[in-house]
Amino acid sequence: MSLSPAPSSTAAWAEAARIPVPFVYYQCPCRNLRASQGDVLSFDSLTQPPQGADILTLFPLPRLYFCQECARMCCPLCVAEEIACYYCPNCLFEVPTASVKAERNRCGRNCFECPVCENTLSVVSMVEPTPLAGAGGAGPAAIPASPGGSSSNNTHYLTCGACRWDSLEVGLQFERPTGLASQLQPHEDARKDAIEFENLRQHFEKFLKSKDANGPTPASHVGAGGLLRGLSGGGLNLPPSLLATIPGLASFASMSRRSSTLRAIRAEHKLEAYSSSVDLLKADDADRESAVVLSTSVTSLQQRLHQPNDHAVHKTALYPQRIQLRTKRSKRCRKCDHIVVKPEHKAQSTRFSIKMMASNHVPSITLAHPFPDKLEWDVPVRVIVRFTNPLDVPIQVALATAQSTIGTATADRTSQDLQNEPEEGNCQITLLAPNFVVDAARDIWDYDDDAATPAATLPVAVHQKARNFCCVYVQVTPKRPGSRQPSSEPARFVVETIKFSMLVHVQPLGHEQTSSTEVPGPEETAGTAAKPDKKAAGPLSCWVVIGLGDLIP
Amino acid sequence: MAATLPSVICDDSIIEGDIIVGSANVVSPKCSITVAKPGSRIVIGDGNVFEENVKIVHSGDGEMKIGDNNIFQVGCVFEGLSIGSGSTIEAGANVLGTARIGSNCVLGAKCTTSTALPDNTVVFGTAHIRRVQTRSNRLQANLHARHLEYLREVLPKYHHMRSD
Repeated sequence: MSLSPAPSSTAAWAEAARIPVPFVYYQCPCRNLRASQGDVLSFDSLTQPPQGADILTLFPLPRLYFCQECARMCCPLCVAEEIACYYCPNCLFEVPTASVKAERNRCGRNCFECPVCENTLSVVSMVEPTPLAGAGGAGPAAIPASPGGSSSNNTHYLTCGACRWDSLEVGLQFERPTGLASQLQPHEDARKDAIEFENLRQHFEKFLKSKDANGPTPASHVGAGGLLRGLSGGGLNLPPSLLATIPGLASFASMSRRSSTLRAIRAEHKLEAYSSSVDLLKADDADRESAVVLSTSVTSLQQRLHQPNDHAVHKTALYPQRIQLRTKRSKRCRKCDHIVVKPEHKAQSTRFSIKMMASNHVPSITLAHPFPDKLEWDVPVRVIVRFTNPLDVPIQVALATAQSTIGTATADRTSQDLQNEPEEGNCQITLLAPNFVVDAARDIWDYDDDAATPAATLPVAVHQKARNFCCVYVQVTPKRPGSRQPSSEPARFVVETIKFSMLVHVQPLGHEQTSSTEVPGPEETAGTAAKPDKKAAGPLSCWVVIGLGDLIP
Repeated sequence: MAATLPSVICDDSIIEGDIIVGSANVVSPKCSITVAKPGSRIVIGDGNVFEENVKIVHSGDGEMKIGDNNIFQVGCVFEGLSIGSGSTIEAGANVLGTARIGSNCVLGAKCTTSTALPDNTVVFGTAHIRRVQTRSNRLQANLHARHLEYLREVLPKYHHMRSD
């Protein structure tokens, strides 16, 4: 068993989508929600194990959220994100949503990033060389002034602590050490590309205004268009890309926009030709070629992408960029619209007022020591899987494999029944302990020192049981997929990841007993959600895919 | 500027072999400057700062030259042939083998070089990118002088000094 194999170059696409082994990934139930008709998860919808393409619905436990209303896990794909606040990561200033657009999503105060290495720049003061100092002879021409003693003839410039770039290289210096962005504003507005953009905007605005004046718009269209314009241009400040992600709205928006544009064109017939007033990007080609030949003066791709205005080719044209704002986002369950994650609004605070993580509600499953020495075709190995209970009540765990879930899903079955054919995966697995109980989680000082159950009294196939975890054996036999790869064709060197899927059903053994001996049924979401005791959650089942390692033939 | 001042060398540092130390240097505790081979030597100029856990190892033949006003930051290792003046070897950086460092160079934190750095070269980042800096050496000289002055004043208050 090699845990960190060198990726083989064959089947590059499949390799790219491969999860590094070993792993334990959970499948979010949202896939089944979408597949089934209603909102209620039916047990039938869980009978299919994750197939090849479902790799995108598999997540490690720390990435999953938990919705208490629906009593289900939510993956990053099935939560809706909302921006809670914008802030600058450097000065931690919280930017009001209304002014984010005007500041072009960048910090409008004193924060700049280095155009060479993307580090944060710092402001340094420098005393102008005065005639006196020059007369002194030995004195340095420029002395970095102490921050307190700033005299009137100080100049200030930006400098990078990592790569030693400074803004004097591009001839940039400031009179005051504060409000640098506003001091730079006139300079930025005078750039060729900024002027060109402004001209273009004026040109099209003129056209759109005349369109609005000419076109007698029916009320219905005004409604939709107005709403959308209000959404994207007004107080809410939603980017058009966000609108496009709302399924119904996007097509509607484009349709209404198209129809109104068509109408306008009919009214206006033509848009007058735009002639560029700025001589931009014309003589650049020859310039670029000569620059590329002298390759030391050319910017790297990364540096160019960080200069969104003109994608400067010459290193001398690199310009400090204001630092991009970051966002804090709250997340809602898409199904019931309840908030699962809500950060505190203050930029300085790293806490969350609501944070419903799946790791606090769903047992965490890990592979435990000792690992099998080696994986070989047709050689059974015993793998120890550890279940750790985060809840303050004991849980009853029932395991099943793909084969055993078909038909009647009874909780009590013998291990012989669970022998199954090699399914989608490449191994045959036998669950030696399909049912077991994991004790409740308590504070660490509440556990007894010798709490581990002595080995003699352990149930069959339970390796270890202590505190709030339980380790069980699973027997895994890697089976060569015979049909796919006949043994007569050994030329292809394919690394097989030995993985299997397992249906895990968790039933909290709460203070008040639910219908205990019954079949672990579907998630009765509506019933359990209303209960006041939050911790006594309802039953939960999901598919878990466990990757053991790579088998290199 | 401080040319006549003696060097400040902490007792807790290791200085072994044939080493000629100039004036106004500061050698912090836990710092080691060693010459491995008999017959070879290290010549240290004036006003250098050797911070804690710095290792200067001369394992080759001949002379290793360290210029003036260089700063070796915490935990860096210097095994090169020579270093100019006014250069900075940042924390955790490595100068290996037969490298020669010019004047006014900066070897960034955790960066490694085994080839020569010409004057005014800056090495930075995880990819050890090199560029040429335009900042004048003189600008930094004042800062370095004050740094030296501060260390000379503070180190003897908290550490035993070597008396030789």
